[in-house]
Amino acid sequence: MAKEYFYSGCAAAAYGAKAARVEVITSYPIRPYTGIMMELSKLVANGDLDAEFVHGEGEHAQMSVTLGASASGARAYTGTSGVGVAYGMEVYSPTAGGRYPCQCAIADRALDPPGDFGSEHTDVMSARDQGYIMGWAESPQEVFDNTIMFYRIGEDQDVMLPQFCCQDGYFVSHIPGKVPVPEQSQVDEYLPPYNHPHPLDPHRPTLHGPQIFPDQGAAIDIQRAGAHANLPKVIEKCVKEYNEVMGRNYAPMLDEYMTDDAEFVFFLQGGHAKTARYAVNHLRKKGVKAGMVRPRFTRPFPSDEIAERCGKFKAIGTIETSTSYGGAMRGGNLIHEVRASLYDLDKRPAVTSMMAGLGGEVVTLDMFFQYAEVLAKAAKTGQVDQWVYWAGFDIAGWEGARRLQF
Amino acid sequence: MAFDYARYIRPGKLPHIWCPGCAHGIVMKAILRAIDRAGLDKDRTVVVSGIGCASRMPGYVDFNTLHTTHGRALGFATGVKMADPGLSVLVVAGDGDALAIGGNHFIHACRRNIDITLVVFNNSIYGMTGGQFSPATPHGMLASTTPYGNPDYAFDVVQLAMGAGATFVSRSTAYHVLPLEKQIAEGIGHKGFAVIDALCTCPTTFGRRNKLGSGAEMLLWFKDHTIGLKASENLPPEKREGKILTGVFRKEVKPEYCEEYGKIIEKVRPARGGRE
Ligand SMILES: Cc1ncc(C[n+]2csc(CCOP(=O)(O)OP(=O)(O)O)c2C)c(N)n1
Repeated sequence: MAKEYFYSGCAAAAYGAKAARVEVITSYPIRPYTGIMMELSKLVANGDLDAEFVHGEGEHAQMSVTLGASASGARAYTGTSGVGVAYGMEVYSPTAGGRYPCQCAIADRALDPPGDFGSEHTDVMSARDQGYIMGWAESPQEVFDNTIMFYRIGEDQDVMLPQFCCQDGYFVSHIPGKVPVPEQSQVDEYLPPYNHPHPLDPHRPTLHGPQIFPDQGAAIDIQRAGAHANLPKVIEKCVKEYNEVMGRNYAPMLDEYMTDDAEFVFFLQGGHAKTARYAVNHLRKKGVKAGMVRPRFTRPFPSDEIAERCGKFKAIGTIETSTSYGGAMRGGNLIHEVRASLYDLDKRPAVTSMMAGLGGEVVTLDMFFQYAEVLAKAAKTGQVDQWVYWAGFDIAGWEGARRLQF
Repeated sequence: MAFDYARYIRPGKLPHIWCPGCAHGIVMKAILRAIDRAGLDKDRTVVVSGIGCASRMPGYVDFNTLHTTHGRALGFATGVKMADPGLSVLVVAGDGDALAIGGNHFIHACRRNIDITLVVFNNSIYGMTGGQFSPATPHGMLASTTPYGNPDYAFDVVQLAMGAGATFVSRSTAYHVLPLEKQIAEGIGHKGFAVIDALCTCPTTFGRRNKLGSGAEMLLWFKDHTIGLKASENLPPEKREGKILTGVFRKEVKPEYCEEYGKIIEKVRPARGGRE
């Protein structure tokens, strides 16, 4: 029987890794991720988890050790935050391109300048195109579950890709929530031991990471793309099985809230979805037909599901918790991909975006209410006045928010 | 007359972040007195740091200051010095910042012998992130990541700097403030790369875990466990056992990097038809 614990997102990640029987852990301290490595170092030191613990001399070394461990056939686990994600960058493409299905926990954090420890998604969003599987959890429970699920998905022989298992710094990583922890036997049933088809092995020497000729480049890249093309099916299967074995109820790709009759939806990833749900509840009480859609994966981006399920809304507002300076829509990243996903539909919703939750800022109910007015107008007119709104700056009239508040 | 620290402090940036008992402030004050003693022009002095508790120091002091990324202060400082070799450039770094994530820059700055003064605030631990062991944590000591003792061996900053080619290398402690100040001033005056290993204390994340007592008691430990380089020469080996040596280990005249670089430009520019 599952036992219920009260875990922060950091502890949930560490206990998820323990349940996944990780064999090599690499670390370098940076908050908020530090909470994960501290928990794991204790588990290893106390003999509760039989794994090697390697403290790197920086994230670059840390990511390199992880790749090496995975190449030799170990289930490898690492993690970082903010500028640590940036410093590890060189190693991400070799890890994904070399098809090492290790996992990197992310408790996100703003990049410099200036020094800021708060949550923001820009750190790992900047690494989104290297081939990692990537998705945000909304709660410590989902962090725990994703840790196990992501390994299963990444280690599928049709996939073999590393994973960024992400959670919002502090909002999820440092706020405890209930986590029902399944029996180890259930996890073992779901997640078989890692089996690299060509591990580094002195008895059967193999060559990893050879230098290639230019005409071999595309041939290798298309395999990485092919693994991503396989992902939606594998994710669907692995999430379904997880739900069955553990008694959970995760949507594979899109988590929807009050969308059946919604005229407009907030579209966002991660922990701020909790606030969005409350905002939707309040708006509904006022008779406003609002809803919420939360992608559980950013890579692969759920384009098919969005085309299939989001065309019916009149307006979509992406809540951008990361920046894309100079990008096509001049604000964040999600709006680009949401708009692109809807492009082939005959009837397309109006799509706009709100910059919020940057540098650790709390995305407040007020911000959602303000933005709801923008979206309600867009739903009515079918037009957007601006591609991007900055919460607290250019969304006009805080009076409006007060009017909607209870 | 009492030293006028106010002349060098940015009052608007106080209070500082350092914990009670932390010795980073003692080292900072020694640096300020050393700068004063060396007679540097405030407006022609640049203090550069990476990230960490020690690296917060440039925020508090009234020079040209540059707070950069973790481990990379020496890289940024090299850029500053190369662009304007007339500037006096100091780098302050924690032991993690200087030796772990920034270890590569450390050895290369030593090798080049660029005219920069580096003060390592060596508190044996990653202070800012909560007491994980660093490359300066002694073998066997407890850290938040080594609850049963550190299996690694620590770098000896002095040996490392000398091996890598630094031309001024010294060590003092936050207890021995006068020699510390003197060494830093000497390092500033030295033409070439100067490394000062400033042993200091982190009672919060290192002292408490290892039961080393209060900040003051940790400072007294330095008094009892160090001997001056000169004095040690006349002592029998058993009296030197377990003691840390302090003093100036190397002071060597060797061509400085920016000057050597300038010489090449002078030599090649006319030959290539450039301005003289
Ligand atoms: C690339 C990167 N990785 C990790 C961190 C997190 N971090 C901040 S300070 C620090 C170490 C501080 O220790 P030390 O350099 O010894 O200085 P102290 O705080 O003890 O003065 C670390 C790892 C960071 N800022 N950047």
